[in-house]
Amino acid sequence: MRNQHIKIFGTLLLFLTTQWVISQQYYRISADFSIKTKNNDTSQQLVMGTVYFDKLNGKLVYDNFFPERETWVIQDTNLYKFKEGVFQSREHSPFPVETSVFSLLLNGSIVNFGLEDSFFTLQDVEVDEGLLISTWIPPDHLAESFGKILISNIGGTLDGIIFFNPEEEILSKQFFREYVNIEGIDFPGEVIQISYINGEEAYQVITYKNVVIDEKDHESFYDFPVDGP
Amino acid sequence: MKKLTLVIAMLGLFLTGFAGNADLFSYDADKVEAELTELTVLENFVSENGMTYSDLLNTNSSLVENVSNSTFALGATVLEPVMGIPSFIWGFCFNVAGVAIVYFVSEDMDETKKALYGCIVSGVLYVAWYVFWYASWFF
Repeated sequence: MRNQHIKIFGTLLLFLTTQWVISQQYYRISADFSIKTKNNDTSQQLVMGTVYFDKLNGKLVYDNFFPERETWVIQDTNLYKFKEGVFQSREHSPFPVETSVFSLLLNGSIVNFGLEDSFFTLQDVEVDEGLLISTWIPPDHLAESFGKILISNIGGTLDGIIFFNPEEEILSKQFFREYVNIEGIDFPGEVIQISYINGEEAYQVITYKNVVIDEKDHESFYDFPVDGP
Repeated sequence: MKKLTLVIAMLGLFLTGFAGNADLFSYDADKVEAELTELTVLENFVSENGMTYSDLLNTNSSLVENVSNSTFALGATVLEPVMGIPSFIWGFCFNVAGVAIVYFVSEDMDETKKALYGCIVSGVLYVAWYVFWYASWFF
C-alpha cells in the first residue's frame, strides 16, 4: 500500500514539475470570456469580451463588448475603466492580478492557487474520494482575520478551493472545470464560484473559450496605458 | 525549486495524514445552472447578435428585464476621495497633515500621491511667495 502511494506521488511529482517547466516559458494568454453572476439579492449581471494577460507587465485587460463596449485594466489592486480609449474611472479591485487564473497559470502556481508564495502555510494533506486535499492556515497573528483554505487537486490539476472565515464557516467555494490543454498548459474552461453571504448563496460562472498562448496580434491591449488622472 | 520542496513536503504529509473533507468539495451543479438560466439565454443571444445592454434596452428586450448593467462582476468598488474632497486639495491646504489624513483614511497610494503633489505645490508656492516678499524689502 505504501509503495502504491509513493508511485502515485512520484507520478504526480513528475507531472507537476513538467507543468511548472512548461508554464514558465510562456508569458501571455488571451481568451474570450463571459462572466455570469447572480447575487444573493437575486440581481444579475453578464459581462462578455476578450481578456488579455501579460505576465511581464502584470496587466490584466478586459476588452468588453457587453454590457457596454469598455476596456477594464487591472493592475495591482486598481481597476481602470476606459470607454473608446478615454479614461473613465479608477476603482478598487479586491482581487490582485496575482490571484487571477492567468497569472497563476503562467507562473506555474495554479495547483496550489499560489498559496505557497503567500503567508499561508501548509498544515495537512489528505486523499479522500480521489481528491488530493491540502489544508492551508494563516499565521497565528492573522488568525483573527483569516480562516483556513482547502484546496483539492485531481490528477495534478486544480479542482476546487474553499475559503473559510476564522469561525470555520465557509465563505466561498470555487471549482475549476472543463480543462483544455493548450501548448502543454491545462487551462480551466469554466470557473464556478458559490459564495455564502448572510445565509444565502450567490453564484458566478466564468467561461473561457478560444484560449491563445503567447498571441502577438493585440499588442495595444497587452500593455494598455493606464495613466489616468 | 520551492514548488518541488512543497510537493515533497506534501508527499511526507500524505503518508501520515488521512481525514475526509471531500464532501465539502461538492455542489449542486443543476441548481447553479438553473439559477443562471436567464443569463445563459442572454449570453447566447448576445453571442449571436453582438448587441450591447443599451441596444437591448432600446428595443425593450425582455432579455435584460432582470439583468443590471452594473460592473460589480469583478467585485470592484468605486474609489472616492476622502470626504468627497480631492486628495490634491487635502495636501495643498493641510500639507503634511492632509497627506497623512488621505493616507490613513483612503489607504490608497495613488490618492496619497495626489495629496503629496498638493503638498509640494503648496510648499513651492509658499517659498516663492516668501522669496518675493523678502526681496521686496530690498527693491
